[in-house]
Formats: sequence, C-alpha cells, structure tokens
Amino acid sequence: MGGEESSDEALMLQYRDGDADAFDQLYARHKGALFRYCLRHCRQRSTAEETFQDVWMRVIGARLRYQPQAKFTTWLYRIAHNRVIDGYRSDKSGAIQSLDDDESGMQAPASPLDGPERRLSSSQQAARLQALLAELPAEQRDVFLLHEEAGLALETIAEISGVGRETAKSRLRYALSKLRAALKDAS
Amino acid sequence: MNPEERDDDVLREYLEGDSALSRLYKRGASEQPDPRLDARIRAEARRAVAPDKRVAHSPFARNWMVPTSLAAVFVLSLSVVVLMPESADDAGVGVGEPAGTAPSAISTPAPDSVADVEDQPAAASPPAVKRATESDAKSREERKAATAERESVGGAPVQSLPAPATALGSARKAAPGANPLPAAGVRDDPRAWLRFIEELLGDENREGATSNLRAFLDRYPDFPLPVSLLPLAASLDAQ
Repeated sequence: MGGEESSDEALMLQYRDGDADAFDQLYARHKGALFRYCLRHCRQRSTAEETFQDVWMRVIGARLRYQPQAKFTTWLYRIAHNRVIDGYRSDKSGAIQSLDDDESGMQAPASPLDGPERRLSSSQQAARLQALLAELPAEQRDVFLLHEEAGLALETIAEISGVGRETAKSRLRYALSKLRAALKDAS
Repeated sequence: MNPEERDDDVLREYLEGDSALSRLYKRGASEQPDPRLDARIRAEARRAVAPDKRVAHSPFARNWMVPTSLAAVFVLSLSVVVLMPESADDAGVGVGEPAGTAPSAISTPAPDSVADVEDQPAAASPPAVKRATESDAKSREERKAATAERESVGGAPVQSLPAPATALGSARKAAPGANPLPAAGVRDDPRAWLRFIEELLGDENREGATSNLRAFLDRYPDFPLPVSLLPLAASLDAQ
C-alpha cells in the first residue's frame, strides 16, 4: 500500500471484476456528498436514506455495464439525478417545480431574513442557507447541489440534467441570485 | 454595472470555486449516512460480486453455459419461424376473411407497429386494414391516457411526452437507415426510448439502434434493458 491512490474509474472497474474492497473505497469517497445530495432533495432523512441506498443498489446492479468513458462521478450522479427525478414524479405532494415559469424563477423565496433581522452568526448563516436551499425550485437546487456536492462543471451538470448548457447556467444564476439576496441582510 | 452583469460576475466567481456562498454551504454540510446503512450497502456490494459456488465454480456450467444458451435461443427462434405462418393463417381465417384474402392478411404486420400498418394499406384487404387501424387508434388512445395519468401524478410538471407510438413512428420515418434520435419527450421516458430502439432493430437499422442504445446508456446507465436489446448491449461492451 502507500502508493498512488487509484482513480474512481479504476476502482469501479476493479469492483466490476469482483473486487469488493474497491467498492468500499469508492463508497467511502462518495458517500457523504451523495448522501447530502439526496438529503437536500428529499428533506426527510428516511426518504433520503432510501434514495441513497437505492442509488448504490443501482450502481451495484449496473456494474457490468460500467464503461470508464465518462468520469465515475458523472455516472454516479446521473444515476442519482434520475433516481431523485423518479422520486419527485411519484411524490404525491408534488414538490417539484419548473423553471419554465419565469415568474417563480425570478422571485426570491420568502425568508425571515427579508426585513429588519439581526445579524446571524456564521453557523446560523450556514443553517439559514440550507433552509433557503430547501425553498428553491427543485431544478435550481439540483444544479447548485451537483456543483457543490459533486464538484461537477456546468457542461456536465447540463448533460446529467438533459438540458442545454445555457439552461443549466440560467438555473444556477437564479439560484445564486436568490440565495445571495436572502442572505445579504444577515452578512 | 446592471443587475444581469452583476449576476454573471457572481456566477463566474462561484464556478471558479472562490465564493463566500460555497464556503458557507460547506460549513453547514457535514451530514453522513447512518453507519448501519453503510454496512448494509457494503454488504450488498460484496454479496453481488461473491462467486456463486453452485454455478460459477462448476467446470460443467462454465464450459456449457454459453453453448447451451445459444442452442436454446436457436431452437426458440426456429420454433417461432416455423409456427408463425400457421398463426398468421389462423388469424386471417379467424376474423372471417374469405379464404382468398388470407395471404394479404398475413402480410399485415403486428398491430403494435402503427407506422408499419399505415405504410401498407394497399397490401392488406380493406376490412383488415380498417380493423387494424381501429385497433391501433384504440391502443394509441390508451397510451395517451396512460401518459396523461403519469404526467398528472403529484402535479409534477414532467415534460409532456408525445404519444409514444406516433412519436416513434415519425422519428423513425424522418431518417430511415440513419442514426435518428427520438424527440426529447421520448428520450425523457426511458421505456419509450427503449421501444424506439427495439423498433429500429426491427427495421434492421442496426447502426441507428446502436447509436441510440449508446446514448440511452449514457443517460440511463442503470436502467434494466429488455432481453431483446441485451445482445446489442453486449456488442457495445465489446467495442
């Protein structure tokens, strides 16, 4: 041991070929970010855990078809994105919102920070950011999370979301604009 | 600087990874899955690659699995080919056609292919065509209703999907023999896209089916494939 760290792609290929230890390494690398991606979308921890587990089950089930042409992270989050969308579609509460509605896309979410609020501490601001994130339309939240948690570039996010680069960029711009506006008073 | 330019600057700064918002987000993002969940997933991963001693370690199974499977596929295919004319004959007589029109009824393709039925009205006898068209219209209505029902679930604004049969048929007609990609609505529905690929294969457009399947697997890497597409998927893996 002690040599160079294997790439995600190499680990996934090793796992595909039967090396379960390689999966453990991959899992350890990505579990936190992927879990938070699911958690921010699902809001409830139990639903997030179910989604998270399902994503990994799909990774395990699809291992024989894995091709290292794309980055493993892209592949993993494409599976996660599809699973999250499935969840929204079957969600009876209809939590998903569309950016096609420009009005809703442009309005900043209602926030207790809008108004004469006291200054928040750093940890309070971080918690406030998460609450604001939960209020964003799902598609804007998704783009933000794919960048923050998966570290994906805009082009890859667009590819995963099945939209053009400009659409993804526009979603991210709206998300940032709303988050910043709502946090501004407290900073 | 107008608001739009300011937003662009914010976006650029954010994408470069040097933004206060990112730092703030990361400060509050520390949740981890439950260790029991970790253990469950890792155990499942191990179980999935654990060798099946009953089959994989048996020299007999290893040596004969592939030839036996191929032989089974061959026998099944042969049976279908041998039995198909008889079935078609039965269908022609069964619907009350005069004996003389039975061959043209046989030439009518399976009613699940709307495009193919519409392509061959002259080959079939008029009553047979009418029945096939009515049957397809009914089938289309049912599919539309199913699509509408799916879109209305949870009020989610899922991109509206065209009726699969129509969308698939027109997409395939648009570029025969080429590598057509179906409409975005079909690509958003993995099942509809798989049907599209199957129809390309049915049209003997292997090149189109291959490029579509590659694009499909890029978009839906974990979606289970139908048995009919597994050989094509295997050929992709081999490339």
